[in-house]
Amino acid sequence: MKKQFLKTLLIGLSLTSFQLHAAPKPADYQVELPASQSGPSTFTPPSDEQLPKGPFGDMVRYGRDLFMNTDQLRGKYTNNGMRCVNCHLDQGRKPDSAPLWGAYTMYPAYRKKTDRVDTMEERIQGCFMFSMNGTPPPAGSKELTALLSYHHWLSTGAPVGVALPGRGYPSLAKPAKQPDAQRGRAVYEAQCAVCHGADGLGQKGANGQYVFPPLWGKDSYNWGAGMHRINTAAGFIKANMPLGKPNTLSDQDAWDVARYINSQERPADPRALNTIAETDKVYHDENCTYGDHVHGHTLGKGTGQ
Amino acid sequence: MPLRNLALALAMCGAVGAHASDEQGLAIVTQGTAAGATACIACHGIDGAGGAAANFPRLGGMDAAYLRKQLLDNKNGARHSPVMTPVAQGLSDAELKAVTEYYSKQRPQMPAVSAEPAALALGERIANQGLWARDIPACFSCHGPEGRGIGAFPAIAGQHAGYIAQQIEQWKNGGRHNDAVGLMKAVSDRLTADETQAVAAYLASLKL
Repeated sequence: MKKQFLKTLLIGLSLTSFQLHAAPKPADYQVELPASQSGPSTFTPPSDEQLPKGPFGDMVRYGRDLFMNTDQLRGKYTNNGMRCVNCHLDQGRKPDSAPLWGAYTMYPAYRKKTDRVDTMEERIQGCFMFSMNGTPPPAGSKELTALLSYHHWLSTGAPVGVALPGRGYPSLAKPAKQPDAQRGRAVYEAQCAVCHGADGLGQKGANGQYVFPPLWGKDSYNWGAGMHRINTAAGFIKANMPLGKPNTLSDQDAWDVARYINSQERPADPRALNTIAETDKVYHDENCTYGDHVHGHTLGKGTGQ
Repeated sequence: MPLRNLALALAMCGAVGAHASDEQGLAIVTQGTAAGATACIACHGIDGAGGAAANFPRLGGMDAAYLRKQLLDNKNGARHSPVMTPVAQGLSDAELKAVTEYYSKQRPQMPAVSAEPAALALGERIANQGLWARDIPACFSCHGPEGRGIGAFPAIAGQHAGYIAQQIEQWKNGGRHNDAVGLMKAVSDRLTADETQAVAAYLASLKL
């Protein structure tokens, strides 16, 4: 909290000093790493058959298991119904679906989101805090080491410090029309609802765990997750959704449906300041609906527990 | 007190109603209907085990709402079948409900599956992990853990291999097109003949 206060204070000061010159532009805490090379993916991660034997192989396997069956950490390190593989398809291997091999070799890196140089471990901890709405496993814990080992192994042979094609999600050009939630709703109902539910709350299997992840509501990613940003979600959706039908939605549809999904209430931003307006200004300047008034509701209040 | 009696009476009606529906289901399954539906048991069996020889699908233990949708699709043409369309047209909505609920409650014994270990291993991989290099998702990412079905997605575990392979072929060639969002069409188009056989054998080897 103290650190947060200082950060806010610094931003406040810098805004004041800029006011004489130009309209203040709050820091965009979600700007990501440098854009990747475009074009088809050229890197192939090792196959499961190549998993090594011995203690390191065991740790990689455990990391893969946590990645696929993240529910086992619920209540300890996660606090929603999301699994790592929901956003990183094909066990974290798939190009244009934020593959682990695309991230691992880019860290440590400076990120505006945290305004410091983050290590890979800290980046993974960020996923736990925001996408999993949880409390990150500490550095040195078996869980974090296992996930890091899995990242490392999948990146075997990848060049360090090179933004490989297929890293992250593709960036879509701004659409012809402003993204619109009403149009997005029609896309959602036609293309997404059969899996994620008309209410967006996902669908659970007989064991009580989600088969189709919730896209909003208390079991979804929170207001601090990268996926809550309309541009990030649009890129993911375009390249990966509906599952097995990549790049079938028009760019406009992807933007619209991303806006619809991200205009719904979800767990609160763990970085929240005193008011939604303040949090909005500092952390949610662009590409999101945080703080918007929709049907008499101010988005960002969170879903409670 | 009168209210409680009323509730009791309603509950009994409900129980009698459910019983009547089960009996109606059994009657249709064994005898067909006057409107022209032939007896289901001729092809699907009394317990809904279906038949491997002529690709008659297993119905026993499958989700009633899914079975109902298929019959409605047969009826309205969304799923065309020279055999099933006239049958579906001979079933009223109530009869259709009774039949599908009857079969959803059955637990048929399915025949053992024999397939090459290599084919089963490939099938297991496709079902659990997919072949993402060619944008083929895991079967179970939509059909649920162990292929037991969820929501609009039917159970595929314990289904006859021949039937599964035939359906994939039909999606591929356009003979079947009543899948949600064209998801099965997209997957079927990318599966090779060998992969289709492998995944069908693996799914047939599972228990529902």
